[in-house]
Amino acid sequence: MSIADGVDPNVRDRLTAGIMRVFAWVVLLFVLMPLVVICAMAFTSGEFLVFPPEGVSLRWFGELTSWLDAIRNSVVVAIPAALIATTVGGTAAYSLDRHDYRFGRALAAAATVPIMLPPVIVGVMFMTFFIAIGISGNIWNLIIAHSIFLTPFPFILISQGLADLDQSYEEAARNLGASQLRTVRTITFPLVRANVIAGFLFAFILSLNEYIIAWLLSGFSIQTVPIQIFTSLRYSYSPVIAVISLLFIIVTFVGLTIADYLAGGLWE
Amino acid sequence: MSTEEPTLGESIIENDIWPRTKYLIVSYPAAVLALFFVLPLLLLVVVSTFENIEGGFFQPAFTFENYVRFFGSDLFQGRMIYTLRVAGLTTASCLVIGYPLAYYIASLDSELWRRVYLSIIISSLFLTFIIRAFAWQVLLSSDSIVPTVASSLGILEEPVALVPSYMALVVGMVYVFLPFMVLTLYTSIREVDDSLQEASRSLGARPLTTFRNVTLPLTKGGIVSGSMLVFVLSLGVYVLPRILGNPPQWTLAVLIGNQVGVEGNIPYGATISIVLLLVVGAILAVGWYLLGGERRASI
Repeated sequence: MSIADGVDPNVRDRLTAGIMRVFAWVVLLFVLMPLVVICAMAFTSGEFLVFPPEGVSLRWFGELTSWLDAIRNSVVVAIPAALIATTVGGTAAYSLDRHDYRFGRALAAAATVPIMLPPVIVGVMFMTFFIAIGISGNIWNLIIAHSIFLTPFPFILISQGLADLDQSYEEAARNLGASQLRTVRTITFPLVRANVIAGFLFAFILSLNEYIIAWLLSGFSIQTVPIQIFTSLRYSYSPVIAVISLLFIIVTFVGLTIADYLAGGLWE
Repeated sequence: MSTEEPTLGESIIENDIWPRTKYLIVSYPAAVLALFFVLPLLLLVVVSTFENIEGGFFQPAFTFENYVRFFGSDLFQGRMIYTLRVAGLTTASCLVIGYPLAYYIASLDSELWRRVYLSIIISSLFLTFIIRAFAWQVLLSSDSIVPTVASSLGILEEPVALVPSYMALVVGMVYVFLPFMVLTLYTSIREVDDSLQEASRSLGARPLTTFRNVTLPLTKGGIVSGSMLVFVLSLGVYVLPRILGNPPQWTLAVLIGNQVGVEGNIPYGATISIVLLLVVGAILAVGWYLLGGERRASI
């Protein structure tokens, strides 16, 4: 007979519930702590990255000037990459929603699989491809690689939007004599606009945050923010890394909150 | 949405509102994905049989020498097994930590709190691995909070740096992949019909008995898909072993990156990539089989 059997069952249930709650809080602390630490480190007045920080100051924010090139490169890659991903994912979603193709499943797979592959393999794949066709070290290599890698996000989000759409609006427009292009522009697009923007934002944010594909395809000449953070971690280890990280955390969090809101709560 | 294939007649009437533009619209995504995804993927397979030329180039050879080298090398075999082991440990830890957490969140009555907890879980999901690994590097370094607290509690004799190490790598990986496990399990637990648990309870079963006999078996699908997802993602980690580990903690993905980015041996990097892809594919196939029946359509 175990000790638990001697305890009043109601007490035991309440004890189980209490343990569960404490456990959940401990895990949530584990999840939150690293981000809190980064944010706190950005305001340190000390020379080193140690938590808790030695004092409070904004001195490291001034050092951001040496990161402007990397920030510009990251944005210059992420905007066209997200645009291409959204147009490819969006037209694939629209075609597959409205028509049947013999190669439909293959197209859906090609638009879904890239994000499931280990990123390092995607990087090697594109590096091989661009060397084989004789173009390397061009920023467009990276833009194309990111756009293919991230196509699944807009593809899945826009597919969901189209599946939920009531097609009778489009039929009404068509019956009233609107062309296909006009129907898409005035009826279909406005109805799935939130999904399109959410897909774009996801692709944009993930492109900003991607490291290994960018590193392999940059030809060691284009520094994006994650590449520069990685290099700084090896050579300088200065608190300015926490400042740029804080900036990244804010951009990522705001972007995804908007995307999640537009897509109507992805996880509930 | 219906999963049945519509007949030819139905598809013309219902789907093909504008049959003439049907192939025009699809030509753009199909061409882009064929040219920039399918073709490079096939090329990767072909180049894995090529010969390396100094300076990061390659020439056609159609040899299996790269594969012979991989399977004949203790170093690469060892790294392969190491990668599988780390992924296995990460998956098991995420499951053990993630299940009670997902269960707890799913059982909360307040929708607001469920949302708050889920937001915390996904708060870092899309942030680059580099910043998240960096955060753990700071937390585990010698003068930082974790070693200091551990030594004052008597777990460590003195506050020494806990990074780079195997432990740091596993902590980092659990931190990074836990959200995937929790979200998958949460969805699966929420899908369980409350009335079944109600029935079990009203028949006199205690919460733990209800959990063991009703909830757990009904969420088996979530457990399998969550574990598979975390395992497959863990197999591809590159950044975490580089930042939180030393060469003994390097995974297969790091070796791929080194072969291509440092050694300039693209054909061999392609070979290791293909091996890793086959392992990932095999695991997905096993998971597919385990999930079985009607659940297959939903992953």
